[in-house]
Amino acid sequence: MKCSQVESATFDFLSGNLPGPAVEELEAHLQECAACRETMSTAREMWHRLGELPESQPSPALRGRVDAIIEAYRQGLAHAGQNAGRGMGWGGSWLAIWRSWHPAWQWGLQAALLVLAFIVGGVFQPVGFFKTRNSEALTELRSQVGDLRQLVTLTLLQQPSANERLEGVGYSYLVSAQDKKVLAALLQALETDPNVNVRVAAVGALRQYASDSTVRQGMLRTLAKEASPLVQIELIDLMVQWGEKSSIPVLEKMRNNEEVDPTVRRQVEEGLRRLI
Amino acid sequence: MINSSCCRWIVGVLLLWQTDMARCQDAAPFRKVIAMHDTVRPVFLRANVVNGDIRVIGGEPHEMVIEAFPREKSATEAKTTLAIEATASETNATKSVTIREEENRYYINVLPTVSPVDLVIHAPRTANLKLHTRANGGISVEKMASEIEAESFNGNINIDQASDTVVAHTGNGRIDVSFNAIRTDKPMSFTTVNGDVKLVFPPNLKARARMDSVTGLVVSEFEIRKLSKPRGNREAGEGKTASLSSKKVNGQIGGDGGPDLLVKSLTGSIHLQKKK
Repeated sequence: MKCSQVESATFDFLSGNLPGPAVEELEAHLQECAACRETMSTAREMWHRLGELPESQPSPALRGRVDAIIEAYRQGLAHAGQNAGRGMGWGGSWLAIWRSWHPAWQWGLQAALLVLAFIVGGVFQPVGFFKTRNSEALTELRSQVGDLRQLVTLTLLQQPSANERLEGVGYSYLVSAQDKKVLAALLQALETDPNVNVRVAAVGALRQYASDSTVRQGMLRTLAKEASPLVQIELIDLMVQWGEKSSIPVLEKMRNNEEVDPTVRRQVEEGLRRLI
Repeated sequence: MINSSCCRWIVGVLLLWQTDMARCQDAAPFRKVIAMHDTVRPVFLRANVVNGDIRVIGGEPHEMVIEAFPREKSATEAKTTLAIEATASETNATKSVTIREEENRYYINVLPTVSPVDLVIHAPRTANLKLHTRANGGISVEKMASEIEAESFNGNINIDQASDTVVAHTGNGRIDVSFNAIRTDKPMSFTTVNGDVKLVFPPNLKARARMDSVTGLVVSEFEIRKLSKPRGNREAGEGKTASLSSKKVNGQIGGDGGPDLLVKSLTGSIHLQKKK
């Protein structure tokens, strides 16, 4: 065995993945070559030290986010399953044929059907029974669009790219203000996102949940531990705008903390004057 | 167990390679040329410098050149505090450069050194960037047509001739960004605690802008149509009292549509300029 082969086999050897004959060759080479012996000794020490490093565990926050996404995905599947169930028989076989078509043909047929629908819609005005059916279909369509927006928001908010997470915050404006999962994800972003820009944007998006007590509590919790003056300023401004009296103790603590940025403390002073 | 072994194997190979490389190059500035083996899939480049600058220059798609320059001669004897002190505690500055590649994603780190080490990367123009500097250095990017995420603890951020989307944050520094073009579907965000922000956009810019400085000015060459309420402000309970004193501009630039543009500085001014 040559020195270069020893180098490439070092970590397979240390991890016990090197085949028996290769181990013998490597050990024979080590007997003869002092340089490789030294390299192996260094590598072995490093290997043991790396093994002593604690394994990182996912945080509870990450688990919450993953659960929320899985739940949204399940709901989407269940919804799709119900719709597919309704379309069994003729519908099922048509669906199979439709899926086998080339996308260009699918688009072409969809465009033609759309034009036809406009013409038919213009000639025959929907009345009675048809009106009700249309209304139901519209409600269902709205619900599906809502689910899709929720899924997109939750997915984007947990991407590694800050730009995509910002996009997720932007999408959250399209989701219903009653959506608890998106609210939880936004609060999560505010409390734990590593990027200041995303946290600042999250405060803006959470404005729409003003009446929700969990949002106010989450914001107060964040304000008490937030290190970035930019996020602090956003939160203080919102607390004052909302007339949030429960923020007074946190603000008083910030006023007396000399580590807080002087500009932030001036804003705290002004905020306290308005709140008290 | 397998994952743990695998991680140890990868880190081990890197550290061993790093030691060998340093043995050959001694005090010379670090330089490595990487032939891009996959020019079809998007390239992702993440660079992290603990003590020094990062400069990225857009270049050809088929290669990447990575250089590291000790800022002072004495840096050759700098003591390195490796995150994992496995191989060395005393080494020259260039030894602290590590490069890892996984599936067209390149991770370049300059580990802590006593004297600053500046990193210069000639990267494919379309490589998406995620750059981070900690001490004694800022970030500068030229001629890149890709997503840029830049974060500096205490340095300036300069991005010239950008033509995609940018998310930038610095604790104490200026942000100067000039765009040749922007993505209309991606949000952008620029935040600094103590520093001015100057953004130069093409004259046909369309964006939903939210700009805010507590003690600085907000000056725009673009006409901004003020929006009566912040985006997403759909609850009646919001806004019991007026916002705290700061210069806030919340409005639409150049007709309807365009990406969200968030700009925030605590003490600096914000300048929005038209590209000449």
